[in-house]
Amino acid sequence: MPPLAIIFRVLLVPGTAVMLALGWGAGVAVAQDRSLEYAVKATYLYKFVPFVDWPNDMFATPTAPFDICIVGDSSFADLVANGIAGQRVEGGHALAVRRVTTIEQENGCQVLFLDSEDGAVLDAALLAVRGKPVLTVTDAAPPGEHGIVNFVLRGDRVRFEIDLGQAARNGIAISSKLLSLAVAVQPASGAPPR
Amino acid sequence: MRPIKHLSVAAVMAAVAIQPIAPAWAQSLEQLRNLSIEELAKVEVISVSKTSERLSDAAAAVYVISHDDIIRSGATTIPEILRLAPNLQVAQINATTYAISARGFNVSNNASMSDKLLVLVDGRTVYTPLFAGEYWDMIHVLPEDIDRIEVISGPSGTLYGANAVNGVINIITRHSAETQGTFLEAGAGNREWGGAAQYGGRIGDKLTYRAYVDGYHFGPTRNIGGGDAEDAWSRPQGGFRLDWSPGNDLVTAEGDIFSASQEPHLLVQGHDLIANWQHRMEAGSSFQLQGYYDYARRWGDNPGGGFAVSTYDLNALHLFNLGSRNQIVWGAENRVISYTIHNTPSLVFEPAQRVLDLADVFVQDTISVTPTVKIIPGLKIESEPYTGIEPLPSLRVSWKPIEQVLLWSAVSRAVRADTPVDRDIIEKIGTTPILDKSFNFQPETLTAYEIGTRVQVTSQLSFSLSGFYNVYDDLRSIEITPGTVLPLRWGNQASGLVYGLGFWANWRITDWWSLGPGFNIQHEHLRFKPGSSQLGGLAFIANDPNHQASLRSSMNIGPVVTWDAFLRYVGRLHTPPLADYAELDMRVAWKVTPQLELSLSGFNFLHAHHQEFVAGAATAIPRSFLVDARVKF
Repeated sequence: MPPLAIIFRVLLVPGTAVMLALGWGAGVAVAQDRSLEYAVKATYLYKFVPFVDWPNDMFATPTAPFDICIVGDSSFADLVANGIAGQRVEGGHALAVRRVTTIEQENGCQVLFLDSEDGAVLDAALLAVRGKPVLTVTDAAPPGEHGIVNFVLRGDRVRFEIDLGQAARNGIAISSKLLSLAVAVQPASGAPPR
Repeated sequence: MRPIKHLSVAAVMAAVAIQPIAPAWAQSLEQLRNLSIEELAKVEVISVSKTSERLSDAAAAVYVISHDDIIRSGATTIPEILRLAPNLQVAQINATTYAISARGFNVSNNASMSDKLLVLVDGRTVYTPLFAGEYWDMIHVLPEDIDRIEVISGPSGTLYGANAVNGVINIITRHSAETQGTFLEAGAGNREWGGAAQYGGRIGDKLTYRAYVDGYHFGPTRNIGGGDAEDAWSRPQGGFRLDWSPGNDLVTAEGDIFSASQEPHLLVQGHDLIANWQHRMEAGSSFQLQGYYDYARRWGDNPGGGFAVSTYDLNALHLFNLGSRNQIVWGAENRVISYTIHNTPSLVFEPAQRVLDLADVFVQDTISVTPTVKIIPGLKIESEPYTGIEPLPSLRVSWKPIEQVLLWSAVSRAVRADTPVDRDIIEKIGTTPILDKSFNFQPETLTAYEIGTRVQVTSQLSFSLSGFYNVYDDLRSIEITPGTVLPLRWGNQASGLVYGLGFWANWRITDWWSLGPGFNIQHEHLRFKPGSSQLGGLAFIANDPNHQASLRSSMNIGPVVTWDAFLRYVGRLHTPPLADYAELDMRVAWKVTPQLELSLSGFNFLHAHHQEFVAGAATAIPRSFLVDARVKF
């Protein structure tokens, strides 16, 4: 079911339209309807970390933060920041959130969340970090513009697809446990489809 | 960039619910943080709580009973579930009958005669048009299939029409995509036993469905003077729901059929069919068309009468934005009610058959005066079957000075429209009419002034406080014929004021324990107008407690055990008098495997028997327990 249909359903189940009419704008309701969905996505971003292996030489200094970078709305970055407060990853690096507006090759991001529906923007961003040790995450991106991880909605739940080819190109490994949770796994080129 | 407007921690926190660690219903960021990645993959992001977020901005006193609240209460019937709403007064009269109202005016004869409440199941009105009250034994939804129940205290006639005077109970069932797979339930206790079976499936990726059967047998209550009240009853029911979502549309069809009996005294049957089409257009605009058919038949051996009512309804609703500041919802409805009454010698409806036609148009504009202030004027023009055109206007204002605080106020007019009981009834002793038809009965009217606030104090604590000042006029009274006294006729010679406060809160003390306190205070000042016969006294109009309080506790003891307790206190009734009482319900549930849950529920722990209402048919309600198993796979 496309996200639009789900939102629509929640918005207008019988009787609810009346509730809306008691004092609500549909635009606001639609936006707020997605708050739990986005909170779950924000939580995923840092929950992925233990299941992904980055190269050992990734950090410039022992105290450098582990950066989750967000290309998108600041409120989404706030959600992630709230979730990771005080948390550290293996090796003692503190988790941090950065909102980025331009994608450069050497951006120091370990996780890069791209929230855009614009194929060209996604393409450029994904190309910019190709070969860099960055876990790219897209949100229901159009076919061909997926990051290593791409969020999808399945049965009212937030799930994800994984592209092992892109992961291999960026030099990061993904644990079998995470793969088992994915709704679809795109194999690295040469390997048979799962 | 996809907009994530108004997305904030507060918005997520606003949805803080009772079930902090149940993964499927995890709500807040903090709760999400504590989930494993597998549990995260199971969180339903389109869930019950989303409504309460929206409701957190509604300019009305709305309480939402969530799906989990319902399951965790252990209640198996709609009236028992409604006890969870702190803004309702629920009094059980006997095994099948309840008197339920909001903000007063609970009265009862052998049926609940509380006639100022509107009850809807997925947009289908289920109060009886014969006297505008509810037969609660005819209203059932499998608890597993209830998404939520929205309980509005106060008038909403502008949106809902003629019977939404003191409150609206809006029962909303779950989308069939949320009830996929097999569900089995069986329960047995000292007062009830029964079970349910349901299967939900999918055809392609756009069509989902479910079909269910369920049935319960309820044992007898006890006569006030002792002895079996002979009111045991059984209620088998079956039904389906189908949801089809092609593109920007959602088409839903649902239906039910039931037959309840209280051998040999009462037979109740009914069926219904609802079709609903929702279409979403660009720029936040949407359109909904709904039609339904409902048939209800009731037959009693005392005094031997019965009725059959068929209702046909078609309604449309259109929501759109006009400019950047106005959101307009408007709609129209036509309802045709055809009934036949099997009269008894002493109680005659004349005519015994009628077709009632009710039609309305309404419009309401939500004007965003500033980003924090909304003014919401609305008007419904309703054509009533007996009295013609009634205007039902309302004006609501809401102000959100900061994200965590909403203040609202409203002024509205509502009417309880004339029914066949007001207009067509003749009561006789032998051949002498005692009560004769009233040709000039007028609708009872309410002008309501309300003010309220909802506050998210911390991410763990939220509360709602609302006050009302209701001015009633033309309330139903019994009048004599000048000179001859008999026959009596209905009149509109009573009026009055009812004012009060309603409060409830949700306090999540820890990750595993939540408390939900609630209380109501109200005062009724009813009076007869000069010249009224005052027959029957004010007790004929209302008999309500001045105070009511409740406390709900929900604990998650480890990941697999839940313990819920619900304590309620209901103040004394005055006319006729009945002592105040307190009662306690509890439920302990153990999730043996992810598929199987066993539970033990106890109802009315504190007394072997207690009486909740004064009425001819009132009995003493016994203490009871229920062992229940639920399986989902």
